[in-house]
Amino acid sequence: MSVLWCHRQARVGLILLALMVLAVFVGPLFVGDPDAFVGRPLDPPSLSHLLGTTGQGQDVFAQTIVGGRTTLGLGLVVGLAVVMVGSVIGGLAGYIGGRVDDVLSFLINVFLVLPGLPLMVVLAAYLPAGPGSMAAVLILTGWAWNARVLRAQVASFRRRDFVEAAIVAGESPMRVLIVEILPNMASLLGGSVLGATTYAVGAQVGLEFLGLGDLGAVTWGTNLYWATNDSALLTGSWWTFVPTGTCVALTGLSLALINFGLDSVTNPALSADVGRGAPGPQPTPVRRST
Amino acid sequence: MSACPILQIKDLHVAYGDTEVLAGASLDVQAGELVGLVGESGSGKSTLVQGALRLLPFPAQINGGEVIVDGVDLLGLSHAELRRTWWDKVSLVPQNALSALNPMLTLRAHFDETLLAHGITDPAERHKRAEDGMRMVELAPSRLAAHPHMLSGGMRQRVAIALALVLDPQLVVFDEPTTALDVVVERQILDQISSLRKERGFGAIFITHDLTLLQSIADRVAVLYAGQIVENAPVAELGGPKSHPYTRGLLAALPPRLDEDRHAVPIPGAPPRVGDAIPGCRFAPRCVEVVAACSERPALKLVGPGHQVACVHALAVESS
Amino acid sequence: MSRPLLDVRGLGVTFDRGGWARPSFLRAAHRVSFTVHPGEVVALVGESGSGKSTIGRVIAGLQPAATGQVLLDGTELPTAGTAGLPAHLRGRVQMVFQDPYGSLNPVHTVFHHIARPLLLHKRATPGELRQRVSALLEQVGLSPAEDFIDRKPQALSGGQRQRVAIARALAPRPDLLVADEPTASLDVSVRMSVLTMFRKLQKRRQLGVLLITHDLASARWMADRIVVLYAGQVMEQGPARAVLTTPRHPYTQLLVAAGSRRPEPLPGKPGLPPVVDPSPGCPFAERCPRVTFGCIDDEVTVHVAPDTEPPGAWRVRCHHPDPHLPTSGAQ
Repeated sequence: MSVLWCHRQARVGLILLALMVLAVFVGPLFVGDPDAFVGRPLDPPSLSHLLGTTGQGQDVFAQTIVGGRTTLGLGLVVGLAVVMVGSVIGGLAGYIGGRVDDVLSFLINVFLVLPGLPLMVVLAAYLPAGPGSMAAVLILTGWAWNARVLRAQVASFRRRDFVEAAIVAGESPMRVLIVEILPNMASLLGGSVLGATTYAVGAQVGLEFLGLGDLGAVTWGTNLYWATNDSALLTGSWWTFVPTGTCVALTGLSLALINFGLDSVTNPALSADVGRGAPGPQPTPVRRST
Repeated sequence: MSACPILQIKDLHVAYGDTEVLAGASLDVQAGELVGLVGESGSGKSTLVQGALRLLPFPAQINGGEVIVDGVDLLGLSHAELRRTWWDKVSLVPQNALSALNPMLTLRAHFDETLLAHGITDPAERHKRAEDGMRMVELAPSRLAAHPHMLSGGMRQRVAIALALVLDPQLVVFDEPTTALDVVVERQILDQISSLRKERGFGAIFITHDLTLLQSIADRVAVLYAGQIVENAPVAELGGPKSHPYTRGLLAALPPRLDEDRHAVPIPGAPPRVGDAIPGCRFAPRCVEVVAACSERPALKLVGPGHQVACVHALAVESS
Repeated sequence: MSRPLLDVRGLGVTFDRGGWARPSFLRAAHRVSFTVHPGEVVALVGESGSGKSTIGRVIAGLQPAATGQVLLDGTELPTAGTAGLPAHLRGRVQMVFQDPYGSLNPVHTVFHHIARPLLLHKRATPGELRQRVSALLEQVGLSPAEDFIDRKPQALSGGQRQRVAIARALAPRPDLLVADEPTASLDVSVRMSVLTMFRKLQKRRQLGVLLITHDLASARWMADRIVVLYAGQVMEQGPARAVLTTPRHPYTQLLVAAGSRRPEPLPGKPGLPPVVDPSPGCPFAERCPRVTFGCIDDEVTVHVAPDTEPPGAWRVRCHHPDPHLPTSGAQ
């Protein structure tokens, strides 16, 4: 973690994410009820309502803050879950190999090939509305990509001498996978969690925007749904969707920045100091001290 | 000192960030001569030559010295000028042929890449040079259509040698060319290098950690320890009474060959880690002949014709 | 004669290379037979492609065999199945790998690498772990142990890593150690100190060692017996010094000539071992200076050198061994 902090971009990303998490989890204590009717509908931002009101006369600021709690919270949980499911299935496939790998790879490929968005739409339409269903839909459509990547990594580590040495020394397969192989993949797993979280947040917002989420709940996605429903663009009420949209964008940005930092940690050639100037490999620089 | 050196490295300093890896090394190569460069892992032998040719990637940097090839200091050249010098005047056979060859390209494409980069555009000419190159290392020209992974380790090494010679450079650097090879293939490669030298007359630097290899092919040997050249001698003088204690220690530590009945004596201790600051002679902590004067870094002294030793015990003679 | 610790009988290993129209296979080992007695060092010698590493991996339980048997102290090792030996045999065979930079896990300390086998095979209680690990480190020459015990592999040199690998292999107190090219990746100047330490420990613990190497000099120095492999088949086997001083098989003669620094050209023709879809007959035929038509087609008989102790200990698989030996009629 300390190495990440040293990386400029990662530091910005971490701070940004921390601020947002703080805002959405602590903020709701300070803002009013987002569902309450507080003023004239579609009122532009003013001193009494910092971000104006929605088409139903609700406080946009409150909705933005409270909405983030579900969206970010679920996004982080789903991101972790996707990587966990992917690790287990991909890890077993890569480690055991043979028939097990054939079966699991087939399963992974089927889920990869299934068209994601239509599947999401169909599932979301049929399952009862709520965060549980949303989580299920996202995990079901998102786990395969990570499984594929992790399977390849585990398979390559499986052939390495230090893994074979652990096997010859008598370690059980589970211990080899968890204690010897997975720690070597820490940055890959970290990057996967960041990517999966980005996916989870974006897909969530997308589905809810289409009206497939729990319309009664206050989330970033439903905010955008109701904003469209209330003809925000036609009436020029930018304040009903720009704040939420900005928050989603900032979330994605912060996760991406942290990911850059993670990349640099694992691959020093990507460090910020390299390649200033001409692209491609350069001859050894000469620095003369007098 | 001598006729016309094709390469003169003078007092080269190479560092990785703040850590100095090479502390003022000098090396000359005369036309047609094979100079062996021997040292243990981490001694800086690859760094010395690759740094001199400016082939080390960031974060390496050169902090001082001169590298003269054909009257021009490589350290002052621009990237474009260096690209004209590389492979044309000086070329390199890298340590691991497998990683030096692009698995996506055929062997012919490798030759074409180099030839095109040096302005040889006529396809017939490129064909001829590629085929001549393959024949030169005793490989069938028909194999030019193959990809590197289809060849054995020894064959890949020979292709790397052919690529290094395709533009007829004056100096070829062999960076541990046989380290990863079996004894029979190693012997074939060494024989190949010797016959090519007789045929083409290029000068060469042969980098290795195995001193016994050099005893059969080198004219002169430079011994590198912890980033410094401690001895520069004609191969016959190595290990003799005037030699550096490290050189003698190395020879004694080598495993006895199949036809030898010698008891190997390892050098006590371990080489200093890169970046460890040691005042004075860097070999002193492990040297059996250490004395108080070793706390001063000894300079290279001429102890015989073409023989320099950096040791306090070396008796300097007047150069003629 | 005591029962051999390791008895390899007719071992064969093949790898399927796929191929749609014409199935293709790589024959890494064929009809390999040799023994290792308790406390004996047997060198398995050959170039790349000789199959020596594959045979070592089969014995360590990392690779299944296609044909033949491998008996450890009379118990047959399972030839099918995935990694690892049956529980009661694990710990009796251990392995030292060639690449010191790949055989240690970069995320774990030296302590972890040696403590795990000690715990798994109940050679130490958790309380005495640190002390036992330190003792092992001292035995392999990493002294003082405190300087090394908590370091990660990246902080060690190649020679030091290989010593850790040897300590790890010795932790479960095995009877047989498979050493796969233990010094090939080390600088020549450190090879002897690692090998000397290894030999001292082998003698002290009366370990059986299968030394896999392409370096004849270290084979002669350390081994009691030598088995010479080419293209997965045993060409010659016998007392190490005798075989390397007066080799009888043309391939052994080639290896010995290559290892010496004599300027004469090497005997025979250059070539690669035929391991892919091989034809019957002697695999060395296309390179051999003494080849005749019979070598290419016929099954090659094994000749036994007379007056070796014990009788039958020196065997050569060749139609024209040098000098001519009476045939044994075996295999």
